[in-house]
Amino acid sequence: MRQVGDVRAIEVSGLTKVFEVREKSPGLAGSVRAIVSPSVREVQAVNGISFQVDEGEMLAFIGPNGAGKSTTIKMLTGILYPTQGRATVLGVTPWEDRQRLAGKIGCVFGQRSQLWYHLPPCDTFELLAHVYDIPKPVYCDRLNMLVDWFELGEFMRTPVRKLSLGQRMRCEIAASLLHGPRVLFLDEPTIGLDVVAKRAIRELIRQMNREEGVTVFLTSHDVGDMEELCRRVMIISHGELILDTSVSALRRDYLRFKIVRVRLADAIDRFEMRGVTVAKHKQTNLKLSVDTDVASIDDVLTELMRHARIADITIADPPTEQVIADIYGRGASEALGGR
Amino acid sequence: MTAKYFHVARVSMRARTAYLADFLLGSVFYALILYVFVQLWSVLGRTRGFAVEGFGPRELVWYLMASEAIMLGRARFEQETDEEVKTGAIAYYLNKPYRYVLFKLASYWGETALKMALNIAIGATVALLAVGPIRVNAAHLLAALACAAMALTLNFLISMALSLSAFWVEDTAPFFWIYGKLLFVLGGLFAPMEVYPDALARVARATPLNYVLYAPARLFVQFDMDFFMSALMMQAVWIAALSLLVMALYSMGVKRLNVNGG
Repeated sequence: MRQVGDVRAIEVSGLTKVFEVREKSPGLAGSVRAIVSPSVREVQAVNGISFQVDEGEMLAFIGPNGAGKSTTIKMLTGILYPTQGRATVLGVTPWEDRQRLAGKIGCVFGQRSQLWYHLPPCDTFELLAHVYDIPKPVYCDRLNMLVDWFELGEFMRTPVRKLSLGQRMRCEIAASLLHGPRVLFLDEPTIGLDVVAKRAIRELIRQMNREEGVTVFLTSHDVGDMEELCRRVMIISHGELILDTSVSALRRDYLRFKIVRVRLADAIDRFEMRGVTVAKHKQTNLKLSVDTDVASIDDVLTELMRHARIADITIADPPTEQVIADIYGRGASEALGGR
Repeated sequence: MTAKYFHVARVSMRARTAYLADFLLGSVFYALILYVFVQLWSVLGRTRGFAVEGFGPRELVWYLMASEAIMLGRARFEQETDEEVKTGAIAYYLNKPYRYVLFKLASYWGETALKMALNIAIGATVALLAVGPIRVNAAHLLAALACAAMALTLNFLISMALSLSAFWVEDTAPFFWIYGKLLFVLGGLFAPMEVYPDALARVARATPLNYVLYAPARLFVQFDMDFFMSALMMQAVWIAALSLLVMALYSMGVKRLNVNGG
């Protein structure tokens, strides 16, 4: 199997997409005006982003709503024409030769289904085998393997409308893998799933990457998807790539706050210090949020020990959601400056 | 290449029969319409000795059987396509190794073939019981079926062109309402052109609608080789012209496709 870094699966340079949005004033007069002289506003959905993804890599592409995640994925899968810029996926320019690319990539859009709603999944799989021109013996082997991996056997003959969301998503991903794609685009694959189903889907994606070396390009609002699946993360905000780093570096470099939980030997009335917020205080137990740009952990411990002896202490990073929300909050320009 | 579209048609047919009871119930409406018109044409025939250009009450009932079989047998995909265009879902077909319009045509034919077969069986039974048989030989029947297949393809292209207009207009439902009503009149749903006033018949013959219902229904009841050849040729011309229109609308529409990003 090829190692990550050997070959580029995706190369993007200066990719830009501007949408034209028609605007209409309220009321009948507004409707008439919109016909006679339509007013059009330009919306910059993606603004000159550049990056590369190696074959076999699992990459998280995250950002707040309207950041340009889905627009980027749609350009990379050939659904949308960009306004400017270049991109190749497995050497193919997606919007110029989308039919050729279709056989090499798989797509799962969490909010769109490719399964026939009133038919069992096996009918969609059979149709996809014809659509992708998969020879019968290859299809049978592949299907058996996917049914085994994704544990689809028990509901392969149940109409899709009767499947749970988790079962349906397992079928969606299996359907997108039927033709053996080398790159898999996953747009919100765990949206709406419960904790157990999310864990199962993540394990399947991991297994598929491990066993087949499939490159995974994942967009998600769920930070858990990023943490559990990907080593690399790209953050997009207002159409610009504001961060491209490893998940561990994200946590290390962008963690301004530490959570300090401390149990003192004796109760204290209050604790105040610049850069420290007391999140919880109950007699001898304190939970502090420390802004390490303002106060070092050393200083906080020294200050605490001036009040009372420390019986127990834990220092933890805040949840990654908080880190990412913080990065979104800082905005594109500041984050870029801080890189 | 065509095999994949054949399988799309097969799956579409399977999806249609997923609710067999609903599917069969839909045909009850068709039988009801036929029954009402059987009564109407019978009364007309008794009171005035009604017969125009070889169309007596019996022929008119069989004509209606054929035209209604097509009218109610065509799969209604327009609302779905309209939604796909408006919501941008049409974009998700683009990264699959098939052509959207051909995919839709295959899916339409899967459903239509099934509905047509059922409608013909029900319609023929009702007409047979009500007015008795008409003389049709196997070759003429095959010719009428070929013309009906062209007619249904023509209907698909008209409906697809109207659906694709959703790229530019907010709501295509009024277009389909008007199309339905025009089919009633200019298509010759209830009666053949021979019954129409000359001026109206001339207008009707100048439109493709005439080749959606009237041509195959008339061939079924009154086969005429000259009419068959000219109808087939006109259908081919309209199909070619409308295919070009649909292709142009589709490629213009896809270029201005504005799928909302997330």
